[in-house]
Amino acid sequence: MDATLSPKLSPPQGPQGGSVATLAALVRSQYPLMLLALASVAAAYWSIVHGMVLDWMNDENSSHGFIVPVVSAYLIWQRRERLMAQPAKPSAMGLAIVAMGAAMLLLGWLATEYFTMRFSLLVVLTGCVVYWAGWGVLGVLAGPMAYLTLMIPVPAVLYDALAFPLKLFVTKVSVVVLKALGILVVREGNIMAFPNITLEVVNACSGLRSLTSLLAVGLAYVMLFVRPFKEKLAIVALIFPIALAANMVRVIGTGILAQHFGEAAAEGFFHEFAGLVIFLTSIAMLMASHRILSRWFR
Amino acid sequence: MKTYLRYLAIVAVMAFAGVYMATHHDQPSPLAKPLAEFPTQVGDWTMIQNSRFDPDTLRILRPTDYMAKRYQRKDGAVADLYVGYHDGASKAGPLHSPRNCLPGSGWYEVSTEPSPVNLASRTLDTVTAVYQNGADTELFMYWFEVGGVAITNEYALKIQEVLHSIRSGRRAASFIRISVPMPGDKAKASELAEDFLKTVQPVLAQFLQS
Repeated sequence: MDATLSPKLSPPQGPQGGSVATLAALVRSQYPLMLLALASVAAAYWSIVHGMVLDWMNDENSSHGFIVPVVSAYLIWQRRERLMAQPAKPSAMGLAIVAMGAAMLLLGWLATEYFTMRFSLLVVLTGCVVYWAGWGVLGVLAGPMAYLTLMIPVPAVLYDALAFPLKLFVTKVSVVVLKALGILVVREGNIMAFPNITLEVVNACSGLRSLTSLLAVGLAYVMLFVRPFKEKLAIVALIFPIALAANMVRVIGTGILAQHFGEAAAEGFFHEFAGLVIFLTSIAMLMASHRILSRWFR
Repeated sequence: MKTYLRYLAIVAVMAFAGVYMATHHDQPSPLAKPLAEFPTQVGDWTMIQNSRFDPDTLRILRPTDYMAKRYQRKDGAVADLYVGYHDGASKAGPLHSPRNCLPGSGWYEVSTEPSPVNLASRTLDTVTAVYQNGADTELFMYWFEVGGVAITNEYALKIQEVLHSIRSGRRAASFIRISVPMPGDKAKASELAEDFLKTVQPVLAQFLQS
């Protein structure tokens, strides 16, 4: 037999010319190089991530950023067996994704546009996964990696575009409820005028701040504790109305209390405390709806 | 393909990005004259108030130089002038568009529209916007300037800053905002703002050229 035609002479090969191994084998044989490459990503992104962490510390609207990477890491840990058993099929497309991420980083940096710079880190990491281990591995990591988007503070342009209509909506509904409760109140825009006090529904009360935080906590809850896909969707869909409803309760409650206790009810410690209570209530409502839904779907 | 190249390729891309960010420094271009020297008398308008911002505001705004002055015309009409100059060096913050800043502090956007103003030698593109805060209504006329080009759109501003930075290593940008109280009719307020703009613009141009 002609040796050059014999398939037996070459070892079994994967599509890229390397033998197909699991991710576990790939990591075991190549972790020093992976760590080196990840260290270069860390070095390039050091100041950008540092700035983001400062935002988490200083901006109440973004303080949920701290829990997001922790939850994401835990989600990956939960999937570690399925992840490690995935076949590693490196794809050259990954390099293109990394290059695109780097281009986003530089453009965002030149434009001082923080969301673009920060988001590009996730693009670069996605590219690395595809380039080193392939689409199958990315499939397992997609959920936890997409979840990381929530750690990036919402750009101001988007935040303000959403905050105002939400503020008006919350004020409108709250005033209707207050009137139905027999309380004298007049609304002008996002201002509620009571006989003895005028309250302004500010950004924080619009539900947007608790919406972003509740979205981070709610999605984590869904990914960790909710199994059937239908239930997952239903609970995610409930996050928005729950955040709005909870904030209306807060605005209405503040309105009623301000009637009796004056400005103290709407300011300072009490206001902050009410915010916390409302946030915990929203989480409780989310968990309760999970209970109800899981009975209902059964 | 050698497997280690897969990792070194990432190191190379990241090193390129890192080195570019570390070495591409925009030149801080100083103003022709500090804004503090802006005259107190311009045409028929006399300065009646000169405000300085509190440290908290400055920490967020981070301008390289700024002025916030109120002028009064002979007939008693008043107009405010804010100029923020950001030299593009690392300590200066980005320009803040009133579109983001005003709604954040309780101002409600009533209208925003482009309003070209005919100057002696050219047409200046500005934006006229009306904002309301409680019982107060103000008419704003504003524009951005990057490398001598007037810009009225936030996205175009970003693009212009990036191009300017890549081309000339400069990122200096200014924001000029005129505001007048609008107790009644918009046409009257807008006429007043335009008169003030035409008076101060030639003087301002001498300060902003660098």
